[in-house]
Amino acid sequence: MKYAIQVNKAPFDSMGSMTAWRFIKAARDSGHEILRVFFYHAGVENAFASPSGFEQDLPDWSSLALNEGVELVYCMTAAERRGKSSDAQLGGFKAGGLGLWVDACLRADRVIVFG
Amino acid sequence: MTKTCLFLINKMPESELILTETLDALLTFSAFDLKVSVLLLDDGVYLLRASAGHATDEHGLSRFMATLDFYGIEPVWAERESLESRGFAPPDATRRPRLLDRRELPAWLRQYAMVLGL
Repeated sequence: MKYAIQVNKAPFDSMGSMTAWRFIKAARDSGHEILRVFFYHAGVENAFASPSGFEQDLPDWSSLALNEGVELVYCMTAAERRGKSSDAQLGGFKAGGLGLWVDACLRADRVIVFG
Repeated sequence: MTKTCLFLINKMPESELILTETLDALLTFSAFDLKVSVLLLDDGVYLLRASAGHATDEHGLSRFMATLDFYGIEPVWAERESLESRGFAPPDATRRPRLLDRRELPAWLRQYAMVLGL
């Protein structure tokens, strides 16, 4: 089955991000395909280094992209609204727009939003 | 065949920023020729009326509903029980939504190819 995943929370203020990451790992282990992970709202914080003191037990998104080929796209506009620059994005992430999220939704069998 | 997409809003956006971004998403899905509807559930029904003391101000809320109107995103649905339990009936709302009963929801949701939450 093909999944499109949206993550709407920062990794340091909610378990939503970690739950999404674990779901993706489990889905891939079960043979499912993740078409794209789209980070929106405060979820764009996942694409940038977390504030100091929050480094423990955060989902390793970069590894998912760089080692397993999962496409990670964060909303560039949402990031800019939160003062984030693409110069500071973590490895494996790509900046993009909502159009990429719609595209993934249209191709997916299942769409899941982690808030 | 046009895909159907429901935005299910079951809480008040935490900030003006989230409200704006929700609107951005709604408009983007509409631009892709998807049939987009909105369902207000639980505290999401406060989008119909400003809530005192909430981070999202009245101007932002009316702008949200006005923008949905302007771009022809309709219908906006609301769950009857969510409205009633929060003490305001549809005639009090600045925009009258179509009403759904809670018991109708499970079957009604099945018509949508996608249901997206905040």
